[in-house]
Amino acid sequence: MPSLIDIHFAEHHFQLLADCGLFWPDQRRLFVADTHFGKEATFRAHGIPVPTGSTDGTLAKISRMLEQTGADRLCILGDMFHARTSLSSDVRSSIGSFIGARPDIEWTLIRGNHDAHVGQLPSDWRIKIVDPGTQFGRVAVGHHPGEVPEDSDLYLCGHIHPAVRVRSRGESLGKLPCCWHSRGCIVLPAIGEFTGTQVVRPTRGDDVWIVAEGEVHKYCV
Amino acid sequence: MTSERIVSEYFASTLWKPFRFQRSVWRAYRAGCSGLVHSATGTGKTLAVWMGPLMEWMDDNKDSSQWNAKRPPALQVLWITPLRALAGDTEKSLRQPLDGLGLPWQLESRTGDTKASLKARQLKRLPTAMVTTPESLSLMLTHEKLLPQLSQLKAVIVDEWHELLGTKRGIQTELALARLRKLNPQLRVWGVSATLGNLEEAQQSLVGVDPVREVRIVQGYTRKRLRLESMIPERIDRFPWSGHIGTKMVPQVAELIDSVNSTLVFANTRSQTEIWYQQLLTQRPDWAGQIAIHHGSLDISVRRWVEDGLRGGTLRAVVCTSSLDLGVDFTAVDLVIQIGSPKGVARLLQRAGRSGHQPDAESRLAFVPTNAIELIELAATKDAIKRGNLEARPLLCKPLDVLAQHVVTIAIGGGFGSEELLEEVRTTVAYQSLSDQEWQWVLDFVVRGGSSLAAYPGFHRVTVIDGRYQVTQRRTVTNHRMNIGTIVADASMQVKFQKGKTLGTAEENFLSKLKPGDRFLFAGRLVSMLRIRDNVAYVKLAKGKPDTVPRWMGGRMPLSSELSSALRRKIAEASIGKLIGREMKSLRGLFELQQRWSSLPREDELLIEKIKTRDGYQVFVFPFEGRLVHEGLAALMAYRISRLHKTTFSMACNDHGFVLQSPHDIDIADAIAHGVLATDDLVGDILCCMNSTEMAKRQFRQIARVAGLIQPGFPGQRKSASHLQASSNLFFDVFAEYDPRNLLLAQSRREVLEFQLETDRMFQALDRITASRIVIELPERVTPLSFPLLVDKLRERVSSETLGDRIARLQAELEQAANQ
Repeated sequence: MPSLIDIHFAEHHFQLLADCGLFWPDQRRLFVADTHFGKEATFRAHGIPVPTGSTDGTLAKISRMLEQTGADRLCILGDMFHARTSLSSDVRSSIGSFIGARPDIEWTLIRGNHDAHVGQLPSDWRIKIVDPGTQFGRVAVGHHPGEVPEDSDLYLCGHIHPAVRVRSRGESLGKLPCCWHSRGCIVLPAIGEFTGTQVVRPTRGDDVWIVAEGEVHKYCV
Repeated sequence: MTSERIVSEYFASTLWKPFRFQRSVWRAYRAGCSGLVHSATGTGKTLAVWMGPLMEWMDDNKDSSQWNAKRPPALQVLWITPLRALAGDTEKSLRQPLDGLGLPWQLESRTGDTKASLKARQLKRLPTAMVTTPESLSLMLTHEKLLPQLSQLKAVIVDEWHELLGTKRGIQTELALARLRKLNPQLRVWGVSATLGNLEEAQQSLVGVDPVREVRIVQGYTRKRLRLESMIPERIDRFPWSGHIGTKMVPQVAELIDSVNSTLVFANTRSQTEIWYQQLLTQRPDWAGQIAIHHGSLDISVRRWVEDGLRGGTLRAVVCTSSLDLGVDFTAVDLVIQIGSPKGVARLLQRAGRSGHQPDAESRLAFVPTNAIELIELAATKDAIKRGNLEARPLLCKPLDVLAQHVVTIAIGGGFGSEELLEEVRTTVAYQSLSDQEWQWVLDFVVRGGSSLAAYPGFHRVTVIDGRYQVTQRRTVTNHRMNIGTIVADASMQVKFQKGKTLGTAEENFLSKLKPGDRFLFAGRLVSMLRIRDNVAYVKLAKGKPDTVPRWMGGRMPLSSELSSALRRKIAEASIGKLIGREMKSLRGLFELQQRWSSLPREDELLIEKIKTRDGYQVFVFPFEGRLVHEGLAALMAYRISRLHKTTFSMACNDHGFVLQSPHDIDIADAIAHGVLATDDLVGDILCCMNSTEMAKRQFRQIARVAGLIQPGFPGQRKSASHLQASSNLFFDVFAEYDPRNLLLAQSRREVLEFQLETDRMFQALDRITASRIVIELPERVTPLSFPLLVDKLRERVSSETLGDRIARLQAELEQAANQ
């Protein structure tokens, strides 16, 4: 059961992990996208009963990947929180203690569309918030999928929660979350547990890796 | 003058004579009884239940000089109709006697289609009689200030109760009736229903447990003459397969339509209606504008137009689905054509009754088989009608999603105390066995979010103040009112032309799989997909041939158990050469071949055929129990055999039997001896072998909506509410992971067993099979009975491969297909 797959883009080497993260060994940096922390709290605040737990579940996946890879840096490719009401006291305390327990990890958040409405994050969280388009060497990062900037080899992003439908001759495996590469733009699957997916239609020349049920598989387009 | 005399004179003026059953309903009503009237459609049931309240009022208000239409009497009667589309017609037919008798009653409708201004006026003062739907009635209960008026109600009449019975909207009605009875214990409740196999239960559900009033069941006019005929194809293929005859019969059908004034053509699925409509137009291009199409996914304005055309007799034919099963008189219709198996006895009767819609007219139905074997089904249906074996509508047992919704309704409409509402809810048949724990869970669900104390911080819907459950937040009230109407709606998407004209709705599931440029038949036109935006599919007219026909869910009704058993009897008759009726005689050749190569099972036999084909070893099993039961049995048998021997099965099912295909030769007699068809641990094995989690998720879609987890999109506000949108699958996963004891999950699993797998019928089928003699035939070739199964694609698979294996295999298949 492959829990990670090595991927080479341009001259860069990455590892795609079954817990929905992309690890860059050269920089010891782990990328994840669309955590949507506290989404369940937002629902509850609006009178829709969703139990607590998915924020902690998402954190547990990140924790596993940090351990598995030994990463020093964590970069969230946008939509860290779902909405302003997502920063409920239970969510704050979960994230606060998660960050507090890992003092050596450097946190970066690329501002996403949901983050725009969240407001100030607690200052003791040590999260560096940067705008889309930031570059780490020749790898650019952002939230919305787009073109690779001229001076970069690759562009990493999230936002669309990509998934593919796998079917043949009436047999169907349904929608499966995936990581999608199209002309230098790499869209990560959403890591948040309480998030949906959107089916994408890759075209010839794209790469797709299915990331589901604790496994990663290369899927031929 | 007594009211009886006045009414008799009124009837005399309309040249009608009251039927005896109508008189007995009037008497029973005025004697203070509740009850149920049942008979075929179009036999004067409406007047039977409507005149009682009118006569009583006239007796109480004898001095007609005091009658003043400008000062109508206060609310007397609520008339509940299952479909809001019927409200307008119902209002019309109720108005006739009011006008004829010169009563000062104010009659109005209140449904989802009613104008906001009228609704607002009604909130101040309700009319004397009101036509409404279950949803709108529930909504009224959220308005506390209406309660004093509702407590004055004399009678509630529930029209077409058989349509609501056994559905969640029926449960919603039961709960609302319990509330109305609580407001006025003397309330009389009358139901109007088609004849059913379980009339007693239908009646009890209507009046509740321990009714205060005496209850009657009145049988309506029954001597309606019925003419059933089959269109038998000129050549009977001895190897029929579903859809095979299909549209070959179009010329004969067109001829038949030509010979009468107005025809309703019923097809079983919406996609079939689209196909038949096109074929009829191709056959008779001169009928453009004279024939139309009607199904539940079409835009309301289109449907209205069609219904008006039927009523006015201007349409020659309408191709429709069950969307026209109901409704008031289309008097012009003199012929009904049923395409494909009717799947049930009551359904065929109901449809036939749509023609000859006058009490003394003859109903005429012509049956068009889509494959030859369906002719046996018609013969079986005729038998069942003769024997009076009609289907029962099985009742639902305490669905908690509907109860949770109702509890919030009552909390908004004035609040409640736990004990008193529990007592009230338990007076309904649906919730009479509700346990204290279940009740507590529902209260916890609406107050805290769930039974777990810690899992739902910050949640508010219902608040308890001094022991009374009430809703304080304005937003909750608004959301809940919008949510009440959503019991029926499935996840659907509007289909529109680019310029803006709405064609109707289709399932999101279907539309989201189309690529731009894909052509499909919709609303009788060929259109091609442009794009999907904001939950709307934009299309344009297209030329050429369709790439696909929309598939709507629910198109796969299984054969009813009554019809299945009648079918087994017909086959058994054929096995001893007894062929009664044109349908059976026309199949003589097919039966003879089946007997020669294999056999025809008697009623106490189960036929199994084993054939080796190029694709592997095929085991055909023919229980004749309906598709759903066969799906379950096939999966069960495959699963149990694969525990005995290492092998893989593919399978296919139809209403008559199922086939298992495997690469290995299975000793089927030995397997049966090892209990692969035993009832031991049936439920456990079923849950293991069917993809029960996927099914539960599908079932959870409706539950999540009813229980208010999924926010209905505010029209025009879809965007701003988008941060509160999550699919029901997501809810299911989160509950399963973090609140596994949530009773809504348990409900979805139970509903899967009851509705999707029909476990009760499976138990009965297996019991019957266990008592049967197993006949194993080894024909050299595929037989007439097994051929249709072989042609059905082998879809389902029991397999132990991992996700990775399956992806790899599917991909290899696709590669191969691409290279060809």
